[in-house]
Formats: sequence, C-alpha cells, structure tokens
Amino acid sequence: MQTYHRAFLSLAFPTLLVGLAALAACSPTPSAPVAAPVAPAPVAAAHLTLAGSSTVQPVAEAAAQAFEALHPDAQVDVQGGGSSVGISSARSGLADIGMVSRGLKPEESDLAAVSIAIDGIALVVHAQNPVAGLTKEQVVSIYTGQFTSWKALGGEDHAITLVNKEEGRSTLELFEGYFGLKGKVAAGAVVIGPNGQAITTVAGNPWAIAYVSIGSATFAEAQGTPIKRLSLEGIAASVETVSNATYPLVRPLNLVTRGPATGLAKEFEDFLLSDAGQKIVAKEDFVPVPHAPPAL
Amino acid sequence: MRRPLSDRAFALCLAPLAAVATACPVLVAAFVANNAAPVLVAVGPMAFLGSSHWAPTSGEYGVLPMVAGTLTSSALAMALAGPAALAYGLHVNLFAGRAFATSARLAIGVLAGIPSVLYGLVALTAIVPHLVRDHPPGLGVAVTAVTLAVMVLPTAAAAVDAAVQQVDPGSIVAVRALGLGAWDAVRAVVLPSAGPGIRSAMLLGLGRALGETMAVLMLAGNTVAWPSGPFATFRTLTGNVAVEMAYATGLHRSALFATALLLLVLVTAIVAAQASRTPGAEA
Amino acid sequence: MTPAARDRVARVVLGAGPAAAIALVVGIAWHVAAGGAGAVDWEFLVAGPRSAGREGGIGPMIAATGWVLAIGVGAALPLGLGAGTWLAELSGPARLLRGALDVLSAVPSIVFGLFGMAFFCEALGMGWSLLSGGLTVAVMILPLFVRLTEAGLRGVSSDYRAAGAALGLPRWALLRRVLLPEAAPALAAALLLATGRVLSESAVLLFTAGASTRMPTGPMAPGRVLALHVYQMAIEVPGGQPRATATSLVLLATILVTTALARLAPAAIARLAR
Repeated sequence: MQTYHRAFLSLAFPTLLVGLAALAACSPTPSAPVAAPVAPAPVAAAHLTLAGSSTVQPVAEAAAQAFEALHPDAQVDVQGGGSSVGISSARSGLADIGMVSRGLKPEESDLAAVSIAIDGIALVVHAQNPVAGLTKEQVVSIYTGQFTSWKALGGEDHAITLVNKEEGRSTLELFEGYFGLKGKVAAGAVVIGPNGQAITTVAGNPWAIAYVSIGSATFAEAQGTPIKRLSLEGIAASVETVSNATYPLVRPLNLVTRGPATGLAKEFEDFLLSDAGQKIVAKEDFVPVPHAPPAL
Repeated sequence: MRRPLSDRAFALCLAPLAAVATACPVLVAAFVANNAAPVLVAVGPMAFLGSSHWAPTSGEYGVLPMVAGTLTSSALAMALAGPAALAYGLHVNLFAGRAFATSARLAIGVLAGIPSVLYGLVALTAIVPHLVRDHPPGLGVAVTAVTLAVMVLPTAAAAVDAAVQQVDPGSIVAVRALGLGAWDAVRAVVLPSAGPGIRSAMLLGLGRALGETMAVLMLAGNTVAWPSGPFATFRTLTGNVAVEMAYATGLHRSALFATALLLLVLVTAIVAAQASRTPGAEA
Repeated sequence: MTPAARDRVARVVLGAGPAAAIALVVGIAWHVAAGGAGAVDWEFLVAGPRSAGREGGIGPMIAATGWVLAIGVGAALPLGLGAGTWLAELSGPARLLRGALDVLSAVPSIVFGLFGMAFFCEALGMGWSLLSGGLTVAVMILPLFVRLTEAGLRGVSSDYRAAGAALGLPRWALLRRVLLPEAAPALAAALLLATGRVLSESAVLLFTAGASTRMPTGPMAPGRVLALHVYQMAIEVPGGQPRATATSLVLLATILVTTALARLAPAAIARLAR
C-alpha cells in the first residue's frame, strides 16, 4: 500500500503547488488597478468583445448585427454589467471595447474614448401615475426620503417606492452628482442594475419612481411598456430636448479602448460613427453625435 | 507477494486523477482566502463583520446588514419548511397509503430538480403582482422567505424521509403490537431513533437556504438595509456578491471575496455540525 | 383519546406536508405551462433572439447550454471516476479527499462564480467563454461523480472481488470487466443528476461564460445558457416575462426528462448489462 501513498502524495503536492502558484501570480493588489492584463485567446479570425453599460448595450447589439452582415467573417459579442465593467474589462483585456455611459474621469486617462451618441437621464413613473413633472427640489426631497407619499406631489396617498441603481452604474453617479445626493439617498430604496430592470420595476408598481436613460425609456414606451417620463424643471425629457441641449441632465455614450483603437475595434467604432451606424443610434432613441456636445 | 506490474501502473494512472480531485476544493478555498486577505488586512475582520456601513465607493465594507439578511431569510425559510418536511417524512412512511406516498415522493423529486431561477420567476409573476397593490414593492422578506422555504423543502423532506426509513421496523411493530397507534409509535420510537437524522436534514436545508442566490436576487430588492419587516427590501450575502461582482475592483473586489469566504465558513460549519450528528457519518 | 383517534388526527395534520408538496408541483407546472406553452414551437427552439429576446427564439442559448454541459461533464467524469475508484479500491488519504469533497459540494454556487471568473477567465486567460464556464461547472459537479462512483463500486458484491482474486485477475482487469459494468447504473444516475445541476446554474455562468446572445462558434466563444436567459428576460428586459416563462418551460421539461431518466435508467442499464 505504501506505493500508492507515495504515488498519490508525489503527484498531489506538485498539482497543489502549481495551482497555488497560479493564484499567487494573479491575486490583485488593492492599490493597483486590475492586475496583469490578459488578452483572451481569439475565437475567430476577427472577433470582438464589448462589455459595459446597459444603456449602450442595445445600440451595440444592433450595430453588431449590422456590422456582422457587412463583415461576414467577423463576430461581435456584447455583454452588459454596467459602465464600471466597461472600464475594468477594457483595462484587463477581457473586452476589446468597453461601453461607458459617461465621460471619462482623470484617473481613466489610460483609456481612449469615442463618443457614439448622446443620451439623457429622466425620472420615470408608472403610466397611471398622475404626476407629470418634478422640480429639482422635489426630486431631492423624494430621494432623500423627505416625501414618503405621493400625496405630497398631488397624487394619491400611497407610499413612494424608490428605485435606485447599484453602484458601478454611471447613471447612478451622474444622477447623484447632478442632484447632490451622494450618500444621502434614503435607506429603503430598491436596488436594481440595468435600465431594463428599472423600467420593469416601475412598470410593475404604480407607485414606484426610478431614473433611467431617456433612450431606453422612450424605446420601452414605444413597445407599450406602461411607464412615462417626467419633465424636469418644466423641460420635457425626450430625444428632442436632449438633442437641442435644453434638457439639463445629459451624458455622452462612449466606446473606450486601452489606448487608441486599432484593427477590428477601430472598424467597429468607425462603423458606429458612419451614417449607417448613426441611423442605428437614432432608431434606438438616442441622439446621434454631431449635435451639441454634452454638458458632462 | 509483490503486486503485479499492471496493478501498480494502474494505481499510478489513477493517482493524478485523485490528486487533481483533491486539489480542487483546496484550490477554491485557497483562492477565495487569498483574494479576501487584502480587505481583511486593510479594514480588519472586526470592521468587516461588525459594521453596518456598506459603501464601497467610500471605502466602507461592513457586511452586518447582509449577514442579518441571510440569517433572517434562511431562518424564516426553515421555520416554514422544517415542520413541513418533518410532517412529510412521517406521513409518507407511517400514515399514507401506497399511491399517495408514491405521488408525494415523486412530487418532492420533481421539486428538487427545479432550478432556482424558475422558483424566482414563478414567485415574481404569480405572487409579487398581488402584493404590489397593498404592500409595494411586493419584494422583500416575506416573498423571499416563502420562496426559499419552497426551495429547501425538497432537500429537507427527502433527508427526513431517508432518516425515518432507517428506523428499525421491528420496534414500530412492537409498539403497534401493544395496541398503540402509529402516532404513538412516532413519539415513542421514530422520533428518538431518527432524531439525529432529522436534525441533520434540517441542517442540510439550512445550508441550502444560506447559499441560495438567484431567487433571492429576484425577490429581495437588494437594498443594503436591516430586514425590518415582512415587506422590507433587504440584501443577503450571496446577493451582495452577485450584484457587485461584475464591476468591483481592488479592495471592493477583495471585500466580495471576503463575503464569499464568510459564506464558505458558515457552510463548512454546518457541514461539520451535520456530520457530527449523523451516526456513521462516512458517505 | 384512543390511539385510533390520535392517528386520525395525526394523519390529517401531518398530511399537510406531502399535500403541500404535490400542490406546489402541480401549481408551478401549471403556471409555467400556461404562461409559456403558447410561445414554444420549433422556430422558438432553433432561431436566435430578436429585439433583446422579446421575439425570436432561444436556439443559441440551447447550444450554449449544450456546450457547457459537454465540457463540464467531459472534465468532471474522468476525474470523478478516477478519484471515486481510488477511494473505493485503493487506499490513500481517503478521509482527506472525502472531507474536502463534502465541503466542496456544500459551497454556494456564487462562490464558484467568483472562483471561475478569477481563475479561469482572468488567471488562465480564457476570457468569457464556454470553456471557462464548463470548467467551473466541472469543479462544482466533481463531488457528485466521486461520491456516486465510490458508492457504486462499493455496492458491488464482494463475491465478485473474491472470485476475481481466486482467478488471479489483476486489479484493473477486474475493474474494467466486472466492477465498473456492475456500477454502471450508479454512474448513469450520477451523470443525469449532474446534468440537472448544470442546467440549473445561471449566476456562475454569467460571470464565466458571459451573456452573449449570438450562436456560439466554439468553446472559446461566450454564450448565454438557458437558466441565465430566463433571469435576463424576467428581470432586465421590459416586456420579457412571457419569453422568460416560455424558456422556463423548455428548461423545466428538459430537467424533468433527465430526472425521470435518472430514476429509470439505472434499472434499465442493469438489465442490459446482464
């Protein structure tokens, strides 16, 4: 029996050592950004992976299909996760292009961004909700928990269900930044992830309020989802007001790459900036780029 | 007598497979622990476990509300599923007719195989719309606990069934021979004898509830808050990891690994507790 | 109260347990079938999704699920067979292995998601791919294969081993020709149970295999498995719940078939092996 003990141990230890070495080699350090960028093995001769913002995702997916029709040997895979996923996966190489629904920050200067559309952030409620618009102060009062019932806004006496985005979503960052709500959002908010989830939650709850991408909301309404966008400070939240820069809360939709885009990634970005690509942008209810640059 | 060459060669062929198989759990545990270390070093385990502030963007990593969320929802789920599982195990073995017992066992078998997203979807489309009217948002502790209870019921019930079947039939016959009924046999013989197995079944169910992710993600609301009432939204440890995993970097990501480590420790404790209670524990 | 009376009461009260189980199965099956049956047809099973999944079908998801299953089982089966045979037939640090596998089988699946993403996708550089997903799933189902192989082999009567020893059969020949065929029913059960487990996983695969909706072209491509598609349709796509229910119906039907086979196949295989 001793032969087997020895055989087992002599093989188990090296295996364990190899495994531990692998994990030691890639454990992230807290201070540095995600360690050791690793480019995954290419799937096909021309394969592109995009990941990130749920706002940009529908545009990217539609563009991916059109792009593949034009380049038969190319494959484009699109993944969600939020703008932070876009940043981190572009950096780590998990994705070729990151999708980010905001401008880049100073600490993100290692990435190159190309704006492919402009979008706004609107507050949405259920279609049956009598409230049609809010002022900035009202939004703050609602989201800090000062107003807890729709009665305070002229509606029925029902508790307001707050819907907040999870951290890592740029829509949250921009919303909190614009309204000065960082760290002040009331404790009981339901936390959701992508735009679609916010819209589904509001559509299922007559007393919910959420903030989402104007493009996503417009698109969903056209599909018959029972939500409506509220006007902010008297300005309607629509593709038109974003496009003529009258709506206050707008942001660019960016494709980011580690360093300037090359090869297939550049072709994809160029495609989205071309007429065909911008038509896709407009079809998804976003504002094509040549219009007024965003405020943020 | 020396073993034949082919036998030794055979063992040498099997050894790497067994070695890799052993390496897997060790690798997983070591990986999780290694990635959890940075945050535990930076903020300390006391702050991690004891603080109620979870604000990764400000460097705060207190998981206490999520621990409360996990424990509350799992405990409530077991409070509902435990008695049902016990009733099931006793009934199908001692009170039911053959046809009913077979149907019930089949039902439990099917329930055990249903994926957790499906349970979440059914609860979301069948229960939550009714709750939204009077108790918006409908998500929260109550619907999560009920759904979890339904999910752990098959696990616990099958284990109770197995435990009750192990009871010596002779002792049950002896009780009946004295003119007593099946219920008396339960109290006098079955419960004491199957007791450890039944407790083990409950622990098994609890372990499953603690580790559940998808249905909880769909039904809890994922708010970082204490579970304060049946219709309050909350977040569990598993939900915390699932929600933030995709985009967390640096210390934040380490904090999620630390959450996973906490789950691992909890689950290992339950496995150990269960193994020590089951007589003749080995597989 | 007489014993008979007590028994009558007990039968009714305790009967709530199994009755609840039966009612739940019927209720869930009916809800899913009623909500989803209308959308399921051949085109649904084969075509790709359109309009974020609100229309079209789930063909790519079925393919992705098949890939993950094949890779997962393909990796776990030899490891499980080898380790299970080791535990049953040879000595070695058996208790260590068993203890480690017991813990592994109880680990919540989200932990595997973290592990898979950090180890397979990033450290080993596989990116979001069906291979990463399949290997992660293999680690998850490994304990099942080990345990059932070991139990199956131990369950074979010692008469066979004694006869083999009397004939001077080397160990591996005995295993190959006698013991493993006898244990085949248990192995078949393990295979089918593992299939059921793999089909149910979604979060793990989101973080390792991705969520792409196109038809995967190979193991290195990302893909969206059925269970994950149900989640995305239910939660993230407005108006997606009907499709989520339809996909659930397909998933549920598949799992029911494998569960049923897991119960019936062992007996059938045992009869075939004779």
